[in-house]
Amino acid sequence: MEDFLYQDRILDEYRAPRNHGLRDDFTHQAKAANPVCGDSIIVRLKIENGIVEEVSFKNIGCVISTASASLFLAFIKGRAVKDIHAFGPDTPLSLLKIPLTPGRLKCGTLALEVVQKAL
Amino acid sequence: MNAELKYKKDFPIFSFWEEKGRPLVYLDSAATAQMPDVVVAAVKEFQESARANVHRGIYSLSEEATEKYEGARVSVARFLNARAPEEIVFTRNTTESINLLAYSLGKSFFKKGDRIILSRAEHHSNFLPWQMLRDEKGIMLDIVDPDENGEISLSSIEEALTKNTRLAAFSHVSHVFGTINQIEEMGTLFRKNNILFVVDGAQSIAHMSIDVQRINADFFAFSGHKIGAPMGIGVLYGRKEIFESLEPFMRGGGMIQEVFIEKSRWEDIPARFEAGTPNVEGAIGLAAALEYIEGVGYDAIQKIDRGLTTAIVDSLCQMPGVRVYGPKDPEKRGGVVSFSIDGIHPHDLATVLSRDGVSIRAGHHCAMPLMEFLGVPALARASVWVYNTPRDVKELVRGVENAIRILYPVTRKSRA
Repeated sequence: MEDFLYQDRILDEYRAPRNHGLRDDFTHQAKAANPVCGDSIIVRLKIENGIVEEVSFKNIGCVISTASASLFLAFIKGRAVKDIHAFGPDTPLSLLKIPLTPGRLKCGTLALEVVQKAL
Repeated sequence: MNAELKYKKDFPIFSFWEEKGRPLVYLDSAATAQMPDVVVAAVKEFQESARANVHRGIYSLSEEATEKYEGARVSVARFLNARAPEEIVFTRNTTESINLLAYSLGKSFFKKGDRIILSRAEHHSNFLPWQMLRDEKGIMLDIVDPDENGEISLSSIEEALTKNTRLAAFSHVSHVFGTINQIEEMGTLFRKNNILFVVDGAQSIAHMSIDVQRINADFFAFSGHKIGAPMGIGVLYGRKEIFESLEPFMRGGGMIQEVFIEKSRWEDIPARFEAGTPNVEGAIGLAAALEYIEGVGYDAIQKIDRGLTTAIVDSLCQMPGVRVYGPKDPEKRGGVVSFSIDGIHPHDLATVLSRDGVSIRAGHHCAMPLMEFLGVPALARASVWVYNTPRDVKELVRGVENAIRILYPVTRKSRA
């Protein structure tokens, strides 16, 4: 684990987030916000037979929350809803692989929160 | 000695981190100012030689503690040019001062249909207590917007006044824009219209001399920790005639004349508003902090403020995509510079700066209605005080340039 948050791997996810831009074919949608940061995110999921088939999102947020959304949504694509329900904060944080200070933890878990809200 | 370090050496935290090889570039004094050694010493001396409860004991130690505590009240009264020490109530901070006031005014002063005027730029602590009165007592709020320079014009206030306006609550210096509001003119206007004037002095007390009589403030609130005093000590100044008519905020020890099962009678001010054992070391530390400021002098502080904030504004304005908020005229600005950078979230900026040892504030600054008005999710804010130096500004500028280099986004394109 590198100690610097803004390493290229993270910045790449931020500059070109995967699945960014809301798709029209979806079955589930949710919004979440982190009022402390002024961050907000919308996710859309297409769920068929208990499996997340498509994911997309749109957000206003910092590097960490955007990179986390990109990584986490790509991670859940193709996974079973019941598995995603069981995820805790460690799941998105382990995808980021960077040490977050307490003040920035929520940036790394907002994507999980909004996805679980959508399910 | 290097003239720049004249005041920095008075604050032990800077040598502590210097010795650790991680010099502190502290640019968040608007949140909490560092503590000078004379305040540390005053608090330590009290703990080691005079610690006892106040107003209770008959023994000499308690009497000494009481003398010091009441002495601090006299210092604050003199510092603010209050007419009497009784006009000074010790609280925890500005937030508690304003909550105390709103609660007590809500008990007897306001009636349904009364109106309160305040600005959109207020800190939540000078908004939420009044919002509570609106929701609980049927009082209306009239909100005045700042202009594009973060200034609140007298004419916009005059336009918003109604015959039912009974209280005005404005910050002396904006914690977001840094604007020094036209508090004296406001005070004259409100007094003429028989409107109670509550001044949030959280951001002015450390930067300019306060004369509560000259500005026609009926109430003036500030926090000790923003002028180098301990955390957990604050002040509510109140004009005696009004203060005396108010019901207590909290009830308990020290604020009663007599208590019966059926009824009780309250102490006179200020004791009526100081239920429970007060923060005696805080008050003593506050008096020492005020003495320190008097020694430095507000002229010297303002010279430092103006020099450094002007340098920060000028440097930031030259950077691509950086927007600086607040007054264009440096004379109208206190010790605060808020800014945003296109495409960079202030939290990312603050995190990168922190790695370079530079401490700034990033977030909504407890002013969410204002952030919404400005159309930004959050802002970055650098603030200065007496110990800051041109070197701190250089470090900030270098840090911001570095952050832009690291974080500046290329055009965002979605990958499949």
